[in-house]
Amino acid sequence: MAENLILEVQHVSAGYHESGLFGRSSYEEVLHDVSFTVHQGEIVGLAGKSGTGKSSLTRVILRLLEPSRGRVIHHAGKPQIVFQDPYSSLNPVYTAEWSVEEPLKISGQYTAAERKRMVHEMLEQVELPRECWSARPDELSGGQRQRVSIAAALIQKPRFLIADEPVSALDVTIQAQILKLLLQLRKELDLSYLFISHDLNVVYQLCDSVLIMNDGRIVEQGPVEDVYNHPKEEYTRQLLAAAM
Amino acid sequence: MLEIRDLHVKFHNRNREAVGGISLTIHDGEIVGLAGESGSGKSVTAMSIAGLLPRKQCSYRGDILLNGKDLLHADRSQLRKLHGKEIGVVFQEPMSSMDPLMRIGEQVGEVLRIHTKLTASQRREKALEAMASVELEDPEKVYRSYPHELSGGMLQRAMIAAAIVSEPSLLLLDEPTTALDVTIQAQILELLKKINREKGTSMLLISHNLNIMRKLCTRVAVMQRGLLVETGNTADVYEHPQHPYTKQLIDAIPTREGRQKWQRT
Ligand SMILES: Nc1ncnc2c1ncn2[C@@H]1O[C@H](COP(=O)(O)OP(=O)(O)OP(=O)(O)O)[C@@H](O)[C@H]1O
Ligand SMILES: Nc1ncnc2c1ncn2[C@@H]1O[C@H](COP(=O)(O)OP(=O)(O)OP(=O)(O)O)[C@@H](O)[C@H]1O
Ligand SMILES: [Mg+2]
Ligand SMILES: [Mg+2]
Repeated sequence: MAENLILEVQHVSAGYHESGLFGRSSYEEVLHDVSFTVHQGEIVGLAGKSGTGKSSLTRVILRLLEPSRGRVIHHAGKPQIVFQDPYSSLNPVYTAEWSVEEPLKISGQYTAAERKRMVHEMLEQVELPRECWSARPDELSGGQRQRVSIAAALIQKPRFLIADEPVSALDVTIQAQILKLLLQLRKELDLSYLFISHDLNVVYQLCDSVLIMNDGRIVEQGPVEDVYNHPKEEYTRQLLAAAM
Repeated sequence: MLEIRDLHVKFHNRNREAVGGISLTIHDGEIVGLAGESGSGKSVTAMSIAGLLPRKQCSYRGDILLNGKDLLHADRSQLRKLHGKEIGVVFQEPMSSMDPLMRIGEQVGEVLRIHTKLTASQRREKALEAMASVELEDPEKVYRSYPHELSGGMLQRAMIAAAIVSEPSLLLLDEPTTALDVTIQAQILELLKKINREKGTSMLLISHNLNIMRKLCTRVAVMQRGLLVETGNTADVYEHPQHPYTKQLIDAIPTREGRQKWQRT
């Protein structure tokens, strides 16, 4: 694996301000002293139970949430993201084709004909049926919507992609197809991924290393084989036992 | 109790029917699983039962009878009466079906406000109880939160709480645990079993996760391209799948052994 760093997260703590009663505002920290790195070509899994801070961590990396301590260093520019809820990343009035083409238009690097070809190729790779290409988000099934948001992120050939539960709404056959696509792109383009999933089997199949999160802390990290075969933390053992 | 007879749904802007003539019965107290490909018509079927089809955008025919009452052709005001009282629905994407400006607790208690004479504090009590039963930690705090302040999995559990709070006789659960890790998933499945056992609630469980179906359902139906390609007792379907797509679904369940196979391709 290349030694080039893509992302460094150093001692990050972060949380949310809530406006309480009588105009008082309180601050609740949900991430505590989180540190890890992502190297070029590496697929890092992030797993842990619901409400533990995984999506909040992606917000910090994307600078949508300001850390109260620590810092985030991007060595390869801004990452792309596939959000957990596809509705929040897709424009409700755009067709599937349009949503995927939009980022290419903004980049201004391609002619209209090149864009069409690239968009169609990508929509085929995520197995979106042709009859859905001109559909708006509310005219798609849950899994179709998710595939459109994956296509819109991947078409930009980002060096670093953050994917928050990207395959949770997909049936196993299409899930397998998407995971293969991610691996193929990594091979071709040396992409890096931060891959969030509550499905430890999927993490095991796809990822090189894994971060296990509990209550806003990374409680265990390392190569997937090590963590899965010799979990150090009781919490990791519980997660693994439940997944089998 | 629920009988679907030859249901067809076709959206005007599509060539193929989203649902191409399916028939399915759910008996009193039964939990039936509906599995199948993404885009095969599972959610459209559930929306037809719930009376939530976008009627202007599609044509539909067939019958959906709930205890003899027609749901497919009933008008909106009749359907509204059934909602929450007789049918509880958990939608596939919780964020899109929640009101972003209303506190979670109020949304969970909403059906009680519409359908019962309970006082505000009794409703609050019931809502908190339902929220605790779906394993939401600190229900009081979640009660006061707005949807955007919850994680994906917390929102999904709030949605389940809202569907069960009024103890409907039929629950439609569209991918109710996709956002949940295995430990919480297991607890939710236990809860659904318990509700089924104690209250006799019938359920239609839509999921692409066959492991979940095996744990919960007495019967499963598998859909592909708008059609039911296989139905049967859960154990039979697992052990002797007949249709090639069902076989594919069972074979494709991710396992740790799968890793080797993949990384090499
Ligand atoms: N905008 C917000 N305002 C206040 N609190 C928030 C906000 N967003 C998230 N939280 C809280 O932060 C905590 C962590 O949430 P986060 O969404 O990061 O969890 P997660 O690990 O992604 O969970 P899931 O697997 O369910 O998606 C939760 O307690 C949640 O209620
Ligand atoms: N409002 C609509 N207008 C046009 N087509 C629609 C509309 N809603 C759904 N469809 C189409 O109907 C088909 C069935 O969709 P449905 O949502 O029932 O799939 P599903 O089986 O629930 O899939 P998933 O597992 O991905 O959620 C899909 O091809 C979808 O694109
Ligand atoms: Mg999340
Ligand atoms: Mg669906």
